[in-house]
Order: sequence, then structure tokens, then C-alpha cells
Amino acid sequence: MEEIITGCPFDCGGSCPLLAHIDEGKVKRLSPVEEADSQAVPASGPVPGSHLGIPAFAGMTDSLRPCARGLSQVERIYHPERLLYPMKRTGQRGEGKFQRISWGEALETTASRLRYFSDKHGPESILNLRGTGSLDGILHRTGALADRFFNCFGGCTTTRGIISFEGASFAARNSFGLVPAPPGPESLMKSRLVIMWGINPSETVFGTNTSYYLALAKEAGVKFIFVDPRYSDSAAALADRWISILPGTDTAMLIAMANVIIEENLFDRSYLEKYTSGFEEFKGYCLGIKDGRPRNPEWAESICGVRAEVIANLARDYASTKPADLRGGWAPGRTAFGEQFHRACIALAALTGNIGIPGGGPGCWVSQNFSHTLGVTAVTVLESPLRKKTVLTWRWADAVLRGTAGGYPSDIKMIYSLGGNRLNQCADINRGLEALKKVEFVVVQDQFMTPMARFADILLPASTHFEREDIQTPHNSGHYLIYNHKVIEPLGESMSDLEILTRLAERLDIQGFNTKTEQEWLREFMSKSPVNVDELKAKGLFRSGSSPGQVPLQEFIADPQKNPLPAPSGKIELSSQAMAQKKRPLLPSVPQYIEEWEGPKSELAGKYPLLLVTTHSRKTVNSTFDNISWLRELEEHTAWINPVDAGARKIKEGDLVRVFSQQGELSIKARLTERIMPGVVGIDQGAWYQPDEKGIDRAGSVNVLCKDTVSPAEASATNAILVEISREGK
Amino acid sequence: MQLGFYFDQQRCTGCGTCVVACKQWRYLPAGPASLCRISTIESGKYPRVQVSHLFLSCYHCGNPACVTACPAEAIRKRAADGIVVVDRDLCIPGCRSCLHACPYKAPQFQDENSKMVKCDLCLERFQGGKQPLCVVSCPLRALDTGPMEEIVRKYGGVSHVTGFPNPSRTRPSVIFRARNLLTTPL
Repeated sequence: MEEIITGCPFDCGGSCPLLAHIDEGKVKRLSPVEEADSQAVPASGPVPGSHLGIPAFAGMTDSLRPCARGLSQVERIYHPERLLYPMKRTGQRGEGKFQRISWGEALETTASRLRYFSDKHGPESILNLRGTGSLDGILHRTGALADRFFNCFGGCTTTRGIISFEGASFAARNSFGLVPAPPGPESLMKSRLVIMWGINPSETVFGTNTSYYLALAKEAGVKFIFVDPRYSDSAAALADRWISILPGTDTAMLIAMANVIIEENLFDRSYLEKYTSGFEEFKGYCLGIKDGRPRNPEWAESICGVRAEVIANLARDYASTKPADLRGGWAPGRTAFGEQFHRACIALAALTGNIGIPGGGPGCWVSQNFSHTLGVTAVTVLESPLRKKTVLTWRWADAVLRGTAGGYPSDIKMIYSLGGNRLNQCADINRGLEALKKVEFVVVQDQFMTPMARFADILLPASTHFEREDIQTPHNSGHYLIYNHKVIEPLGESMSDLEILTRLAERLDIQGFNTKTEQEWLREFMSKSPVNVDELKAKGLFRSGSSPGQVPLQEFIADPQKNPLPAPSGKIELSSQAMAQKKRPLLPSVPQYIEEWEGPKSELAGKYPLLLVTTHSRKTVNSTFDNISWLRELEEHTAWINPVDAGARKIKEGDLVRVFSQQGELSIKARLTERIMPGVVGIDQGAWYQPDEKGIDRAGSVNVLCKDTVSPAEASATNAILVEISREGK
Repeated sequence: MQLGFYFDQQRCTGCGTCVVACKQWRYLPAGPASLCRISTIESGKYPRVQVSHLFLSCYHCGNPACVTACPAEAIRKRAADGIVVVDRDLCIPGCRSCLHACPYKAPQFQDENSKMVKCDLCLERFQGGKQPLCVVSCPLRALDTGPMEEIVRKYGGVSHVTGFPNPSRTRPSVIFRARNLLTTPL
């Protein structure tokens, strides 16, 4: 059998190499690329290195290991339900009835529809509804290719915003003026305390090898405190302490911690003076100087369910243990006022002087593909024409349904969906269904018949990354390049996203979309790298001996005069000047706890008294992999319910239950567990929507329950949803 | 020489990468037969809960119950390295005596009519100087294999943890770093 190194480029937060074992033109099995295989390719020039002075730690050069999802892909490549041929709809839209057609017909129909709607209603009548698809390659990046295509086409309506962490980006932009990457593993090793707030990397990854580095850190004596409504797998593995908190109320607890730190003089005064602005205003809010309402632990307890004493002790521990890394996950930011959570994390990190120092952390960061690792470049989207409009990704259905009459920039007539399952993954599936029924034409380009693909008029079969060639860069941490070899020929008549769009561009007589061969592109993107592309191709993996030394904002802290932050004041803004100017009451200048719409104290909670968190499972990458039986059999898809809540509803372990909200209903098995706090229900997101004849989802697809209202900073609010549960048949 | 396992229960997050890595490596489709399995034990009451995971496989016992139980003498323990292997040509479908005898439920069956399949410590890889798939794929490096003398010397550890059947009868070739269940989260 031949062994060839390739990659795994999904939107999981990591970017891993895989060793494919090939026989007779088929992938037979996969394995990790082991230490012995990862020979560093000597670079042909100076390699950017650890200029930030943080030494490597033992274990850092250990093999980059994929997860269960990555290793399950033989099933995914050869899945009986892979889309292999172009198809056109025969029954009603959404029925899922299709017939096979030729590529010629599929491309001609798609091209003519694009031309038709563009000519008649303007290119903005076409919605470029792309997902992340293939993410970490420098050439075959689904989203970037889609954008590039439509920019060459002359315009479209596309989607903006990143559903994972919009609140975090907003908070970082308005506090720092930039959006940091996470602290790297070398920094983690220097922490004395890590607070994991709404983050579960044992399941969600966050950088290849992150779970391993966290385990090493723990063994080196780093203390871990988890704040989460659930005792997640990460908490179970790492927590020295678990604090359970009501979803949607995290900001209250953070503000109360700030209150304690300020009241008890535990903050780093010289750090605040040198590196931040707006402390007095923030202090005024926390202490209730103007309105006489100190936001102290007692105040927070009544909101978040955490005892005042626990809040105060955490504040003291955090402030007195240095360096400490407050890791604000994105889950608490996906709530009604989620951006306030992230801003409060930043404020606490600033108060304690932990931003920009090894072992500390900025409190708030986003996922980043390091597409310029080792001098590499990547495919660009080219310039946007004037006729390009945007709508918020998770309001795509609302935009389709209400159009210009609803204040949107365009009236959508046609949807082109690639590498995405937005119907399934955005809040309020029922509205998504309405939107898909309303538009005049739907093209879906995908590898599988997802719930989104069922609504296509034309289906275009895309190949997997095993079936074409690319170079992959790291995601969130690491300093390496993977040669994503093409290991097999495309299955059936499937083609890569790039190939499909190239042929479409040719039909449409569009210039400039794809002007090189695949190899020419890869060579061009590698042309400025000190790593030799032919050697990388031969070896499959290059790991730099040195590290990028990831300590976000370290340069600013090292010399704030020479390296001011892009924020208007040049400093970390506890009071955001941009927000102060905009004067929007729900986007105050300093981080504030704002009571959630539809929170546990609202009127609606009378009818729906439980709070749903839509967690992320080790079995899927969002909705990718939901159809893989090796993963499905690891653990049944269930709703986590505390036995107290279950008992009150006469629900027993394994019972089929209805979970319902104001938006919709799903059916799922109940898992009674002490690992979730009373008042909260946990269901993993990503299950493929499967309505029965009554319109009740039988797959347990959480977005039927979620509301598509957004936070003031436009964050998607898919956590802390009010629901009720009852036994099926009741 | 007796080959065996080291399992670090403190590091294990129960992610199941070992389970999938092994199954796909051994060409086993989804179904009841998994050559290694993770068993999760949850105890305590909210908020004082405890979770530990157990890596279950064949432990190539010093005194394997399956070998004596098999009426067809299909299972034998290799002299050179102590790995317990089954000769599927001799195995009687539907018999399952080995499964009834094994305290760790190591013998696996895809359906009622299939022959027994079990972990063989990736014998084929071992002969090429490589570690089994479970070991090389564990993201936490919570698994190791090797001669038990070396494993014991390298890791110390205990031969029994909560939820693991009593090792004294069959003498499984495994050493654990036990999860400290006395750590009570606040």
C-alpha cells in the first residue's frame, strides 16, 4: 500500500495532517503522521522565529494528531449518500426528489439562471450563501473562491459575519481596535491559572494538539477553573474547580468580579495607567457610583445563580495569581447581549494586568487561520464591485423573506449555496424553510444531500479534499505547512469547488477568476516562502523548529508608544470611544450586564422555564460528519437534563421527549445527568434536520428551537434559548 | 516477554479517537464490534460530580480466560510476546464462550452469526516496529504499549482502577495512572 501525507481542512479550529493508505486507487485507511514521518524540511532562507523570546516546551514538537472526525473519513469519502452526479429537482422543492443530469446541462442551467437574475434584477438579487466548507488550504478555500467568483461575476448579495464569534470580534475591535488570535501553547505553559469560561476544547479542538497541551500544562501545575452550565468533557479532564452558571448571565458574574477587584484594590494600577483608558468610567459602573447600584457579588448571585462567596473568591484568586489566562469562550458570546460578555472578559484581563504578557491572555480572541505562515500567501477574493451587498449570515432567511421592504439592501431571487448548510446551522429552521420556498431558484454545491441540499433546484457535486491538491496552513496555533496531496481521483463526476466555479466562469464568459493551473497557483503562493515547495511536496509536512511565539498584544505592552493599538486612544479601551460616540443605549461605552430578552426572569419563561445551550460535540464539526456512523455510534444524540428537572416532568433516562420553544419543536432522547445544572438543557448542535409529517424534527436539530433575533452587535443568539420539555405523547 | 498497555486515566478525555482510529484501521464497519471501547463512569450528585473514562480492550492476559473457555481451541497466547490471538478459521459462530469467560468483554462480534474478532495489539504494525493505532492516534498521549517490564518501569502505576474488573484471576497486561476520584470540584 502506498502511504501519502494529506490534510484535513474543516472548520473545527485545528488543521491536521493525515496519512492516507492507498491501494488500487482507493483510500483504504488513515493514520496520524507520526513523529518519525514529520521530518522538518530545511528551509532555504531565514525562517521567522521565536523573536518574542518564548522558549519551546517539551511536547511542542510531538506529532500533530487529528481527532476521531479526521480519522473517520474513509467512511465519509465512500459514503453511499455522497453526491456524485449533477442533479435537477423533479418533485416539489424540498421534497428531495432529483434526477441525474449532465454537467453540461447543470452548468448551462446555473449559468443562465445567474445571467437571467442578474440582468433582470441586478446581481444583488443573487445570494452567495457560502459556508466554510474547506477552510485551511491556501487555494481551495470554499468561501474565498465563492467570493472571488462573484466579484468577477460583477456582484451579488453575500453574507457577512462569523457565526462562531461575532460578539467576540465586536468586543475586540471596540476595545483594542484589532482582533487577536488566542495565546499560543508556549504562553499557556507559563500560566499559573487558566479560567475556561464557556469553552470545551477537548471536543472542539481550537488548534491541533490543544487538548494535549492543556494536559501538559495541568501536569506542570497550571490550575484550571471551569465556568460552564455543564461539566463538559474538558472540565471533567482538567478542572480543579467547576462553577456552574446560568447561560446568558455570564456578564453579571464578570462585572461582579470586577467590582470585588476594584473595591478590594486588587487591580494593577500602574498597568491600567500605562495601557488602558476609561477605567474611571468602568469603575463608576461597577461600583454603582452614579446610580447607587453597586454590581457586587450579591447582585450577581440573584442573576446568575452562582453564590456571592464563590464569585468573590474567584475574583480574588484571579487577581492574585499571576500570570493568569481568562479564556472567554465564544458560547457565552452567542447570547442576547453576548458582546458584553467578551468586553467584560477584556476588562478583567486588563484590570489584572494579564493582557500581552506570557502566561496571561487578552480575555477575548477569535479563531484564525494562519494563512501567511512561513511566508506563504493564499487565494484572494479580488476587488468587490459596486454591486455587492451584504446581509448578516444568520439573518439570511429574514433577508430573503423581507428584502428591501424590511430594510435589507436587496430582494433575493436566487440562492447559490456552497460548502454550507445554513438552513440547518442558522437559528430558526422554520423561517429558513419559508425562505427557501420563496426564492425562485436554488443551486446547492456540496458533497452530501444535507437538509440545505434537499431544497436545491440544481445540485452540483463537489469533491472532498482528498480528491484535489492543496497546501494547508495551521489554525489557531502551530508553525507548519502540510502538503495536502491529492490521493485519489474525484469520485463519480464530482469536481472540486474551484473546478466547478472555473467552468461556470467560462460559461459566463467571466474574466480573471481562475488564470492558472492548480500547480501554478500553489507555486505562486509558495514563491516567497523560505520553504521549498518541491521539498514540501516530497516530504508532505514541514514543521518549523521555531515558534511564532503567540502572545497577543505583546508588542503593544512592550512599547505602547512605539506600537499603539489601533483603537482611537491607542490603548486598551475599558470605555470604548467608538461606542461612546455612537450613543446606542444597548451598546454602552463600558461593558455592562444587560438583562437578556427572554431570560429566566421574563414573562416567556413562565411558559418555557428551561434554558437551552446548543453545545458542540466531538462527533461533528458543526453539521459536517453528522452522517458518519463510526462517529454517531460513539455516543447517542441526546438532551442533557438534570434529574431534578426530569423528575418534575416524570421523564426517565432514555425516554423520548419533546423539546419545544416559541420557534419550533424537536424530538430527542433524554439523558439524565448530574453534569448539567438544574434549569438548563444541553443539546449538541449539528444534527441534520429531519421533519416528520407534522413538521416536528426527529433528528434533534437544535436550530428549530432557536430564535433569529441578534444581539445589538449582531451576534447570533443560539445559547440561552427558553424551552420546555415533556415526555413524548404528553 | 509480555506486551501490554499503559493507560493514563488522568489524561483521557473520553474523546473516542482511539475507538474510531482502531475500527477504521481494522476495516470494521460501524456496528457492535469495536476492538477498543471507552467506558465512562459518572458519579456524585450535582454540583459534586466526578467523571472518569476507562479504555477497554483485550489486555492479553497472563492467564487468559478465553483461551481455556474456547471449545474449538481457536484462541492461543503467543509465546514470544504474550499477545492473545484468535484463529477465525477454527472459531464457531454463535458459540461466544470466550465472551462469557472474559471479564473485560474483549471478544467482539459484528452480529449473531459472525466469528470472533479482537484486539491483537496491531500485530502487523508491531512486526514493523510500530505502535498500535490507538497509541499513535490518542490526542492526549494517554496510551502506550510495550513490554510490561518497561511499561512498569517507565510509568509505575496501578493494576486496578474503579470500574475495572478484578485483575487477580486473569492477570491483564495493563497498568493505569488512576484518576484521582478524591478531587472534588466545587
